[in-house]
Amino acid sequence: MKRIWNTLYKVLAVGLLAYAIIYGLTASIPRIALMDQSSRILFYHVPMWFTVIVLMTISVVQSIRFLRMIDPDYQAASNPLLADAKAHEAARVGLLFSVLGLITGSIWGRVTWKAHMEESLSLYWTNDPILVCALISALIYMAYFLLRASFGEPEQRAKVAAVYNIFAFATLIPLYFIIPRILPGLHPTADGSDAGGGSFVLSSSKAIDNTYRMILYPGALGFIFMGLWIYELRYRLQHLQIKWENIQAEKEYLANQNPI
Amino acid sequence: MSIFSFFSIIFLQGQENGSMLLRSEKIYAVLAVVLVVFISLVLFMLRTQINIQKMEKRLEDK
Repeated sequence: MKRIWNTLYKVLAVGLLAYAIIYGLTASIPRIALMDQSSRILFYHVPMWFTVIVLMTISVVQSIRFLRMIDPDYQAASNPLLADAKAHEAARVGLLFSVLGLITGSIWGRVTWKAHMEESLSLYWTNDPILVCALISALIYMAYFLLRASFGEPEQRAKVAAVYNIFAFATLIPLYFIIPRILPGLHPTADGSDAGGGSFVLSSSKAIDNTYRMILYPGALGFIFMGLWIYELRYRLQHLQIKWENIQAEKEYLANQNPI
Repeated sequence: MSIFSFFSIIFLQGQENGSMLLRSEKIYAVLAVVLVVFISLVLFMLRTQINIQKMEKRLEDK
């Protein structure tokens, strides 16, 4: 069953992304005044953030699992460091998608909010609350990697990183879901926005046209599967590295036990 | 997949919808986004795959 799922989601990733590219570039979509054809970027930019949320959730769940596994009362069936490796790799792939979300958003912003960007004396950036919050969340996760890198001992590194990861995930809730809804901004979901288009939330009064949804949702699923695929590859690499480190440690131990 | 997107655009050139699409200045921003996203993802996957193979070889040699 696991093997079928492992193949199925990869096939779905390729199929759904091919659909998102071909249909996303060729379908006839309702024109949005300010955006013109650039509204097609929605199919590639918004799924980045959906994928970030899925991967960061996996990361925090694995961190919590790690903290549970190191509890002396808990009978861990596998090496707790593997759960930490999963948390680390999910956060790494999540950060990749986060950076891609910022880059694609920046390109889209340039063609849509050119005047606002020139006003803020920047070519690719404006102080829109969603942009700033997205950047802050990326920086918080970059700090997670810096923190990990500052510890040499694997157990201690994993413990500190797991606790920090829970904090980092908790900040995503206000940064992604609360602050952008409170403050006025340029994104269509914000109050007082002149960006046109609308929200992709079905129940919203400013909801986007269904033609967009036909491409956005399957595409988003494709990107999420692609994210999971990359995460699986990264975890495999990390697993091999842990194996290699264990062999090296064993060798070192034996050399210390039987000095020539 | 990025190659797909270019073929789609070329394919559309001869069609009414396509020529409209190509006349839009902003379509280049869409292509830039598609290229940035897919090239980054494919390169990241390839790099990881190469590292996995290297590591597997190293473990086999031991």
